[in-house]
Amino acid sequence: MMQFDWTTFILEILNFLVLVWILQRFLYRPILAMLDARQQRIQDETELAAQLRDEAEALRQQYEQRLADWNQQQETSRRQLDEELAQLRNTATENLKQTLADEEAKLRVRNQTLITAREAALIREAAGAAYGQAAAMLQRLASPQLTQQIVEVFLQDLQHMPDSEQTALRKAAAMLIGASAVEVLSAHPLSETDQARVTETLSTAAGQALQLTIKEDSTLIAGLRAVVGECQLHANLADELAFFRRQANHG
Amino acid sequence: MSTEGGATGYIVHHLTPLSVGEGFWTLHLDTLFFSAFLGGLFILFFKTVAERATSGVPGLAQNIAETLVEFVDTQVKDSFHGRSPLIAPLSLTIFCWVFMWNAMDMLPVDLLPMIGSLMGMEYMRVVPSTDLNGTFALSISVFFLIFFYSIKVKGLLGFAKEMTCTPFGPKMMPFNLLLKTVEELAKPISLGLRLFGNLYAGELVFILIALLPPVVQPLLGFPWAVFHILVITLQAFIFMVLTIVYLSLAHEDH
Repeated sequence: MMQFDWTTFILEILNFLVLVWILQRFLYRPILAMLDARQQRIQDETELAAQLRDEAEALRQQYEQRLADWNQQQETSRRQLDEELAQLRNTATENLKQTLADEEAKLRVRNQTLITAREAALIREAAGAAYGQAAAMLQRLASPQLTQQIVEVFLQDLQHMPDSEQTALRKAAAMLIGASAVEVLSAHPLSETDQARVTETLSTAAGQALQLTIKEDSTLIAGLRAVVGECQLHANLADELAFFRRQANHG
Repeated sequence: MSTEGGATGYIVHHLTPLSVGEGFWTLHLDTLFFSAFLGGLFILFFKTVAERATSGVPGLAQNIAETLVEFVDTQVKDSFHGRSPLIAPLSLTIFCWVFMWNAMDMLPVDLLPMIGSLMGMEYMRVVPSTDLNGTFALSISVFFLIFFYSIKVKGLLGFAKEMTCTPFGPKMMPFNLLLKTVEELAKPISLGLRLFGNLYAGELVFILIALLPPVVQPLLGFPWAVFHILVITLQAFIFMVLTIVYLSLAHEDH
C-alpha cells in the first residue's frame, strides 16, 4: 500500500516541474500584469477621487466662507438697519414731541385767547349791564335841575378849554357855511337865560358869533350836546355812558 | 461498500494503487492519472483566466484566480526575503495542486473505484496525496530547489562551508556535516510524510466510516467531511508555506 516506485516518483516530479514551468512561463505573468493594471487603475481612481475630494473640500470651504461672509454682511446690514430705524424712530419721536409741544402751545394760546375773549365778553357784558343799570338809574335821576347843573359845568369847561381843543373848535367853526349850522341838543328845555349864556360862551370859545339851533333830545338823559361842524361838544349823561361803555368794550 | 474479504479486504482494496510494471518500472497509474488530470485542470483554469483577464470588473473565475494569486503572493512576501521570479508561481502551483489532490478525498470513497471497476480496473486510489510517490515527488523537488538556490546564492564553496562549518565551527566539521545533512534531509522527508500521513489517515477514516451501517454513515461522515475541508486546506497551506520558508532560508547567506 505504501510502495515507493521510482518511475512514478520521477514522473510525478516531471509532472510538477512541467506545471510550474507552464504556470511561471505563460500564465502567472498575465495575471500579475492584470493585477498590476487593476492596482494601477485603482490607484489612479483613488488619486482622482482624492483630487475630487480635495476640490470638493476646497469648494465646501469656499462656500462656507461665502456663507460666513454673507452672514456677517447680513448681520452688518441688520445692525445698520436697526441703527437707521432707531435714528428714524428718534427723529420721528422728536418731531412728534415738537409737534405736540407746538400743538400744546397753540392750544394754550388759543385757550388763553378764548379765556381773554371770554373775559372781554364778560367785561363787555358786565359793562353793558352796568351801563344799562347806570342809564336806568340816571334816567330816574335825570331832571331839568341836573341838566341845569350840567350846563353850568359845560359853560365852565368852555371857559377853561385847553388851547388845542379851542383851536380845533375854532377851525370847525371857521369852516361853517352859515352860522346857523351850529346845533345844540338838550335833554330838557333850556331857559332863555341859559340859551343866551350857552350862545355867548360858545361864540367866545369859537372865536366868532354863532347862531345856535337848540333842540330837545330826551335820549341825552340829562345835559346837552353841541355840534359845531365837525366838532362835537358832549356834556350829557348819555354820551358819557356811551363813552364809558366804549372804554369798557375796548379795555 | 464492498464486503468481499471483510473489512480488512475493503480497506486494503481502497488503499491499493492501480499499478502496472514491476520493480523500478512500476507505475501507479491512478496517481499519475489523477495528478496529471488535476494539474491539467489547474493549468486550464489559469489559462482561461489569463486569456479572459480584464483590469475591469472581474468574473467569478478571475476573482478566484486573483484571490489565490494575491493570497500566495502575500505569503511569499511575508516569508520569502530573497528575489526570485520562480517562488510565487512555484508556491501557487504547490498550494493549488496539493489542495486539488487533497480535495479528491471529499468524493465518496466508493464512487470512482466503482466506476473504475466497471471499466475493468481492479484498484483505484483517487487521492494522489495518499501515495508516497506523489508527496515525495513534491518534497524532493523542493529539496533539490533548496540545493539549487543555496548553491546559486551562496556559491558552491559557501554552500559547502555552511554544510561543514555550522553550527559548531570548522573544528567540528564532520559533526557539522552530519547535523546539516540530517537537517536538510529532514526537510523533504517531513514535508512529504506530513502531507502523506494526514491525507492517508483522513482517507482511512472515510473508509472506516464507509464500513459502518448506512444509517450511521452520514452522522459521522458529514462532521468528518466538514473537518476534512479544514485539513485538506491546511495541509496544502502548510506545504506551501514550508516550501517558501525553506527556499527563503536557502537564499539567506550567513
